[in-house]
Amino acid sequence: MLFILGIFIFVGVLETITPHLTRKTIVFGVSIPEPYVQHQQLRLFKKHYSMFVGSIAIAFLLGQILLLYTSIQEEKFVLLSFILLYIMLLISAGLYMFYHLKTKKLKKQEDWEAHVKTVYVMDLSIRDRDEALSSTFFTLPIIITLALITFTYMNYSSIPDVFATHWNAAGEVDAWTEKTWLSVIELPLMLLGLQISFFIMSKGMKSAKIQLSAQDKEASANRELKQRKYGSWYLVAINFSLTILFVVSHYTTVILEDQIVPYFFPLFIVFNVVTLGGLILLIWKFNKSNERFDDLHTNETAAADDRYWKWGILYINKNDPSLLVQKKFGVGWTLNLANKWSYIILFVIFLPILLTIFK
Amino acid sequence: MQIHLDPSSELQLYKQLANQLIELIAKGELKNGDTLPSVRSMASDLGINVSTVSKSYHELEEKGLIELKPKAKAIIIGGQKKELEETEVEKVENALKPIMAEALARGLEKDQMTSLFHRILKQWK
Repeated sequence: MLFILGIFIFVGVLETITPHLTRKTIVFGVSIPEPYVQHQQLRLFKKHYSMFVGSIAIAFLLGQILLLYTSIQEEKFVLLSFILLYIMLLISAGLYMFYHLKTKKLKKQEDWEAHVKTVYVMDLSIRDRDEALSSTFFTLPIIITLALITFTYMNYSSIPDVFATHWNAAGEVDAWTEKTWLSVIELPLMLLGLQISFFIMSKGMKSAKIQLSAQDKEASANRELKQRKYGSWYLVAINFSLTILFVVSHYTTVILEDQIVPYFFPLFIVFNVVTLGGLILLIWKFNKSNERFDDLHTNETAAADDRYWKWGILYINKNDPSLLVQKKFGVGWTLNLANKWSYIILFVIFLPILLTIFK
Repeated sequence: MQIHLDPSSELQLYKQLANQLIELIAKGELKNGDTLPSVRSMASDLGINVSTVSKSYHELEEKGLIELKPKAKAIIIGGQKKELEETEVEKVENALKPIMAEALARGLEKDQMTSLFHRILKQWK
């Protein structure tokens, strides 16, 4: 129950601080001309959003803590906690849309674009300074998985006719699967799909467009390079811990035929610590490299790409050859939906869900 | 190696881009054999139309400063020391003449023009 509570707190904090994580030139998914970044109203919008989401998160959290002192069943508590989590996410999504429209209106009302000079800037040498990890880090896990599949088939005859595929929190088996040529590599296949997505994502991050600001090209170049570097580190960390988790699970159940495995749960916890802890580190690093826009030299601003965004969330740009683009709200990258590879990635990510539904 | 294009300038965008790339070659920051980003990637980094970048690249190609091959990156071929052909010197001379004539017509002294010439050359070394 504490684990569920931990997730709730984590998501709550993340939702609360989200408006402050993006580049300063983007507020609620709306591009802000550089000279207006410090606008008082924008600060108020962000503050109000954080206060509103933060107080909902605290109220929900207090409710859950009170419930812990009653004799509520564990299953009921977990279900309730998840429902509250989704309500919180829905409210913050609604608030996002509210402030997205409000920011857009403010920008139009005060006619910011007429008061600034839009320029187009870039740095030709910036990609030579890119420190993102090379694709070797992403091909290695794929090779491990292929080796695991080969190894599984080499030992096919010794695998029992039914083997365990699901455990409860206590580490006891609660689901079994019949042995077929496909079912024995189901787990490695899923892993392979994820690893290939990671590989494509790392390529996409490398070629994603680099947006400099007109006011301080060096500071914005520094921000872009840092975000690429730490973004790729995070991707590699998740990739490797995921690979270890899957390989150990597969090897223990299918090859060793172990059914009650004490180290699954700790391993799962370690995986979560890497994923969530890594995300905290990533956000911290991103925030540190963010440009401040404290002194403005001119009324220039770099060209914005708002016309390629829908609600500041979906990016559809036929002219952009890259697969990924930095998000306009929150931390990380999002798909360029005009790129056909996007749909392959989406398909691979949703494949396991589709398989469970139509099985 | 920063590029900075100003749409409010009287010079067209493609021309500004071409000029700045030429300047980078003149300064030696872009060397013979270096590659330029693809047209589409340059266009999305800058936030301008693909056709604008394409127009600049074609102008550079016509001037013999880059090599464009389909499905490959643009390669810089300018900037190396070589014996210039007579026709190329003539081309430069023809391009320079009207600019110098205009300056003289506007009342610039010959001395002023020479020092201006040296000052600009110094920037590019």
